[in-house]
Amino acid sequence: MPTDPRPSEETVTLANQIQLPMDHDTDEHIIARVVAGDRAAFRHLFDRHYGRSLSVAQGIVLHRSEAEDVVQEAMTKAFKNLTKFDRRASFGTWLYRIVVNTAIQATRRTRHDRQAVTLEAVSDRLTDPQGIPQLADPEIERAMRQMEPEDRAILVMFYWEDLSLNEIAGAMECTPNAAKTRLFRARERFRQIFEGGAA
Amino acid sequence: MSMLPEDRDELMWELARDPLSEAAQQYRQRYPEDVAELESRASMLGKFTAAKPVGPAIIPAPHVLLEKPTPEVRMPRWSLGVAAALLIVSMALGYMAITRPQPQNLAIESGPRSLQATENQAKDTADESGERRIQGTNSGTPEGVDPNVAPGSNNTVPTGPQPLAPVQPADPTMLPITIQDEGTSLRSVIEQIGMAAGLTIEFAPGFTDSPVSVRYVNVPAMTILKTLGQSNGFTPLNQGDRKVLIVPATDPNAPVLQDPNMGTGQGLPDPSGNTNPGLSGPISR
Repeated sequence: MPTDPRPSEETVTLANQIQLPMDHDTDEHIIARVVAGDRAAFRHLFDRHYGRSLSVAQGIVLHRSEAEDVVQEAMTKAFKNLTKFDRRASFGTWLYRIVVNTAIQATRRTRHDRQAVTLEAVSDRLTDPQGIPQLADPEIERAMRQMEPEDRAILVMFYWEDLSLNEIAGAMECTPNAAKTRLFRARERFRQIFEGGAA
Repeated sequence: MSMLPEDRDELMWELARDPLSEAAQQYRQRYPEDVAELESRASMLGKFTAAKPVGPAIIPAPHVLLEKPTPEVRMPRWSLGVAAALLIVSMALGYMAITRPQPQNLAIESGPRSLQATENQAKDTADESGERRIQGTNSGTPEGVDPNVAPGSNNTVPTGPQPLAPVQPADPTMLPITIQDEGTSLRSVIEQIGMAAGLTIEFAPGFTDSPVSVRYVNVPAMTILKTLGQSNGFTPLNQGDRKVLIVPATDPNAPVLQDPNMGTGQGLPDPSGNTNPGLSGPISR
């Protein structure tokens, strides 16, 4: 009895229901599933990039809980704009761009709020988590706080996350040469502040 | 700012990231004058790298997945164009409706028999229903009236600019109609008049029918009914709301309608060639 080489309808349905292990999938594969409607697959992207995104965000906003909010907001933006991801760069680079921009905006918002703080709120500020050291080295944190958030971002990506100049350029929306120049200047500023304070 | 050459400066920053590497050792041997600078940079970068916060112990759930998915409603782009076009058209129509010249208190009947207006200087008379009729003595030239028409002339057929739509008289009983029939019943004639003028005719008990012959040309319906009533023993009573009650009785004190044209005396010549235009009255009974 000849057998039909085509898979039966039941087999096809079963094959469609099989979930490949996400941990070994590429970002692009997971993105394709999310775009196709599998919202839950985004959780794997989130888990994969959360740690580095949080590190970059914390290096910019210099506050843990604010950084967590920044990462959540950035991930939400990434999820909602996933169909616009053009794959010219890696998903990580694209995500860092969103994280950096969101963190810089949050920093400026916070700075603006602090300028508008009243004397009555000063006592509240004394118990605010902002007063608690956010980084392991208080000298580094003090120097970082005196820098512009864009400079903090480039130092953090280069020295904390070991991103290449090409990846930093993608995240900062500039050319690699511009990223190199900005890294040089940011490093010099940091050194001046750091050694000036330490002296 | 370092005074080192750019390439050497870059190399030193790179070696400072890993000062224990073999490349760093070779650099120290080759440029002993830069050892202090290299150690300073290495120390700073070592502290900076060590200041990196520890990673999260627990990765939270992404908030975006906790939200309920909202279906994205996307309007096609052409719908925006259609909406914009409709908006422009409606605005244009509204503008035209506002700026369109309106006939000012001037009404030209559908029949060319008479011209109604409230021109201040017009001589007017009141007919039985209280309607005011212009007798053609306008000294001004209101819109819709041909200024070339001589005042008082019998030619009231408007030759000037016409309103866009003929305006019906407010009282339907004054709608001029033409009716001609011979040897037909009076009831039928009255009903035909009512139909022609859009009136509801009601006959009071006691109305007696009889054969009549009539010929009226462009005469108001109520005038015809009153004239018929005088000669046939009934009185038409305008009940309002387009209703006319035919009562089989006449008022002996009512003025006799000698001139059925009710003073206007204007009208088109009878198409049948009669030189006495307008109401001809019942021919015979």
